[in-house]
Amino acid sequence: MTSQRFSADKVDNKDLKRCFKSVILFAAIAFAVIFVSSVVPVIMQITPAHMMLVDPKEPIISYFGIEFLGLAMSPGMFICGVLMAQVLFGFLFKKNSVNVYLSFGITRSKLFLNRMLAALCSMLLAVAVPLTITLLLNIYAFGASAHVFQVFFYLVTGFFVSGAAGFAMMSFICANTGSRIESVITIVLLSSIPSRAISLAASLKGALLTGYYVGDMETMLGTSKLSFLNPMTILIDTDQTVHTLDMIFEEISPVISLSTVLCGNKVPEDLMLDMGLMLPIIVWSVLTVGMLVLGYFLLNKRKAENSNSFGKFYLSSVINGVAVAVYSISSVLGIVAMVFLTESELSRNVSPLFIILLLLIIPSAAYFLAELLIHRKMRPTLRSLPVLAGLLAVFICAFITLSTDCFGTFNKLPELSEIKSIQMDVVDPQNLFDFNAVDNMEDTYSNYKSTDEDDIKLCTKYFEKASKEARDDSFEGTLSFRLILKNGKQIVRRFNIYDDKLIYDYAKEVYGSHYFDGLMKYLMLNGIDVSQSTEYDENHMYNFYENPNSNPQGLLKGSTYYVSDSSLLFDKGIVSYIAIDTEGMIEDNDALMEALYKDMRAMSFEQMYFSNVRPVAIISSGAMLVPYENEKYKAGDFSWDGLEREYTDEFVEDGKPVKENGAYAPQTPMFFVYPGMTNTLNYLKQNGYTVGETERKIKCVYVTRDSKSASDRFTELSKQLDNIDGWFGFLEDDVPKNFGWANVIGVDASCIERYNYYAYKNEGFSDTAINILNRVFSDSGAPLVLIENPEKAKAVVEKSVPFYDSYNAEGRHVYIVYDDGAIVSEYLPEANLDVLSNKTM
Amino acid sequence: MIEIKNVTKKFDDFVAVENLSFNVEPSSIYGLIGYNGAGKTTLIKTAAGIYRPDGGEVLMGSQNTYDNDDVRKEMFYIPDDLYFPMGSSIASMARFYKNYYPNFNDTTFRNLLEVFGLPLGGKLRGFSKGMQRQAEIILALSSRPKYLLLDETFDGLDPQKKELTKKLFIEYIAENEASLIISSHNLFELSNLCDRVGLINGKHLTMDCSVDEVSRNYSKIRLIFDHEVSEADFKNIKYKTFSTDGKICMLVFEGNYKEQIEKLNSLRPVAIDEYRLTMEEVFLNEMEDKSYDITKIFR
Repeated sequence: MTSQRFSADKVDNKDLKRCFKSVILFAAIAFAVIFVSSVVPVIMQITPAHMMLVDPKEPIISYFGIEFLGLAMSPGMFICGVLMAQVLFGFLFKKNSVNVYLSFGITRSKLFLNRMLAALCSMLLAVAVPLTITLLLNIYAFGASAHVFQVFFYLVTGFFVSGAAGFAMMSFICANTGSRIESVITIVLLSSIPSRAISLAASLKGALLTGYYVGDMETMLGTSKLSFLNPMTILIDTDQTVHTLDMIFEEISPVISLSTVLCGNKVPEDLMLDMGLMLPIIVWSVLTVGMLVLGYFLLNKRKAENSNSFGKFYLSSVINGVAVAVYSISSVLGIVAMVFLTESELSRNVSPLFIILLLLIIPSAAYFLAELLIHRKMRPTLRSLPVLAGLLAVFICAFITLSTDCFGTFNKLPELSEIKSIQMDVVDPQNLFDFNAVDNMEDTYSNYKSTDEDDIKLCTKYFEKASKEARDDSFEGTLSFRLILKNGKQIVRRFNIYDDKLIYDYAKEVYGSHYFDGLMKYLMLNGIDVSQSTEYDENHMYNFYENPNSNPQGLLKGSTYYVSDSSLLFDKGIVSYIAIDTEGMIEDNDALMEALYKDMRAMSFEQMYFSNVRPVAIISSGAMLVPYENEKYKAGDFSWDGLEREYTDEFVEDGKPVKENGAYAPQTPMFFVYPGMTNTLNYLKQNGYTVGETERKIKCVYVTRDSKSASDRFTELSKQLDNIDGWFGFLEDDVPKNFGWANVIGVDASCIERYNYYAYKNEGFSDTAINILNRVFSDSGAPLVLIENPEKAKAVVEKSVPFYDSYNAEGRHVYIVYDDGAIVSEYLPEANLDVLSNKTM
Repeated sequence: MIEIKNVTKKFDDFVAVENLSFNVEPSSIYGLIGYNGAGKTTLIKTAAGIYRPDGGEVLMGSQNTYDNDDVRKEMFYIPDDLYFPMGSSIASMARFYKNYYPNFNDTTFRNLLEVFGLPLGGKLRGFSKGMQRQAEIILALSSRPKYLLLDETFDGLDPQKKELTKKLFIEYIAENEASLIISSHNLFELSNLCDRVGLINGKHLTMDCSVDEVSRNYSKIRLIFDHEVSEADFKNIKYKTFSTDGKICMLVFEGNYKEQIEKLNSLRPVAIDEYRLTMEEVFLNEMEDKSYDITKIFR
């Protein structure tokens, strides 16, 4: 028996030797890569020529190189481990090799242990030897320190665990798959399950969130901290995504590049073995041991007859099925979450019930089909269904956990004491101050934050109210909040609001807050001068309304303004092609903004936004996109100054190439100047602008037959026009018809664009605005009513107001034509309609 | 000694072999015969410890073979589907097997190589099927196993090499007191090799006896008459098969025909000649339940 045992040991030793020979190539490659990326650069850096450059006041603590191929090292080692396992356990995939190996005088356990030992030892040598040389070089050149040893330990364990994890995962899969192709598919799916699961959690959170986040979903939803589960990023800090590698390496990683040290940055030694860095290594060490143990037992249980087969192993087939199910639901939920996050119409209609149905149906179908494809038989497919039931149970638990937020991770409103500062997207009816601070992720555009206690209370108050908004059909707008916590985290949320009173209360209360005052100062007084901005800034500024995310700071101060008469206010907008008077260009923006700021701060919320007083002037930059090729149209009063950007658009119309010239004017804010705004009026008068002093006589008055405005009529007609251009369609979608309160006295620029577009598209249109207006109303079946009686016309004008609430309003629109051809658009409220039926006039 | 004890092996729901038992004594060769798909390879792989039996056990030297390194280092299995890694030669395979067979004998290896006349460094994948078999036989015998399991090993060998191999196996078994199981569906290959034969039919071992017993279990006689006879004339006689060509009849009996000699004599044959059944005839007789009436196939 002794001699038998001896010979058995001999067999084991020889098998082990063979295993080492099989993986030596991979180990040699790993060794060479680590050597080249670590030892070589260190030797180069510590040569006397380099050391001469070092400032003795900034001593180098350590230098391990590694930045060369740094990002690829962890996945590289993982793949190295996978390949080693493939080579060592490849015999399991063919019947003829299985026949030979499993009939040898060596047990399955020893076959596994020898292969494991060979792979792990060779991997450890490949990692430890070059890094030990680097360590010795560091000690020789920079002296021994705790930091040097910590870096050495971190790198050795990180690289080794990456490789061991790859080997463990692949050996576990090899023991549990029938063919090489099945093993490759399984490892790809299994190794990607963690990242898919993280993405699924993020998607689920995103889809279930009350309100939605803006920006990178995984980061914002806090699921990126689960990235330590991704085997490809074992050696990358868990809180960072891959693209922030530079930052990791320069700021918190122990792998400090020499250049950084030379620049004077001290190595924060207390960060060296911080759990954030070691967590993935610890987690994957445990997982690796677990997978090796599992692989060991599975190899012992493996049925040799299942070699050279596909789908014969229950565990691998259900792993693949689960991966497919997770992929499918993650993708579908990702789309659903994106829909939620992008605030589309759909997002207001998708209910949690729909999500739970998706969670049940999509993975079930995907899993079943995957299993059917793997097994190609119904019976084993049905046998795999209990796993699906378990998976669905997990999904449902996740759904319940996240939808009820039982851990308080994403719907929780922090305590006031936890909040450092806040940002709110201000809802103001003229969109003057809504500069999308919450949406904008880049610091350049989100500088304005408030740390004021009252502002924080205000923010949390409306955050809470908005989060409780019940979904219904009457979407009124959105409220956005960013809560920056003292622990560095941010809660960024945008809520759809269905109660117009909530928006009104919010806007009114914010108007009187420190936050609003600070924001006004920031935008009107402290902003950058456009003349000093780069072309990039200008481009973004010009596109402000089309791309709110590009709103640069100082937009209000930085624009070029024109003064125009308020008679040009037309149906809530300025007929800018008539309005822009280049003579009225304001030279000194700083003084204008200061005057406006003082006047606006002196006004109440109602005075500023809900005034029934006609403004005496409008300060605007103009707003429109006008094709001007047509001569008749060009014959208007407008002219192009430095604001516009000419364009040439070539497209095919009716099978013929068409070249269209146009001018692209910016859409910028518009200030209404009311009689009480003395600072602004004084400024204008002192600078030679005559506002509110023009004497006009009413020529005639037109009234609409119903509550539909010119804008509504344009919309109806424009839909009937053939060959609607893409940009026009975009405008159609851009302004929901029931947009409601938020647009009460906002600038409905689209009305003007429709006006122009309609005129442009209709051959034979008149070149006077009132004729176009008459034709539009006639064409849409409700011609304007001309009030011929001068007394009645005067009464109507007196009873009309300049601004109106179009939402659910039943008043009439009034168009007053003056003797100089100007048209003033006013509104006759429902309460004053009896003036139209007064037969005594 | 190899002991196959009540071995059952299933593949999912399919039962390949069921409750199979037989022994192979030291210094003896056991021939396992059966039609294609009868379960011979399954049984041999189970015996080799590659498959785990669903019932029963296989013992070699009183030790279970499944996942037992002590036993299997003294066992060599030559499968039907040979394994030669890419680029391997006989020399490299010898080095490979030396790792796993401590008794591998270089002298035997060189001698066998000379006997078969195979090139030492030639790439095995470039060899013919027969040459690959010869290489595997050389490697097997050089490993000096106590137990040899051969699956269709003569397949592809030319008659000369077949005879050479048989002689080598017989010599090796006698010399080393080894036990050998060889499977084949070709009875001629086993006829002058095996001490005992087993027939697998319908998952079960339907026959397990020595080669001599095979002949003893059956008797075949020729009856010559001076008149025409038909099968109806033999209705009182218990026989296994009957054929007639007018005045001459051939009968095969289970056991000894002499128990019925009086009944046969009462038919007044002119002559009775006794013949020895070949193993092929025995095999076909045993398998006749499975035979098809091929005349019906193309009707």
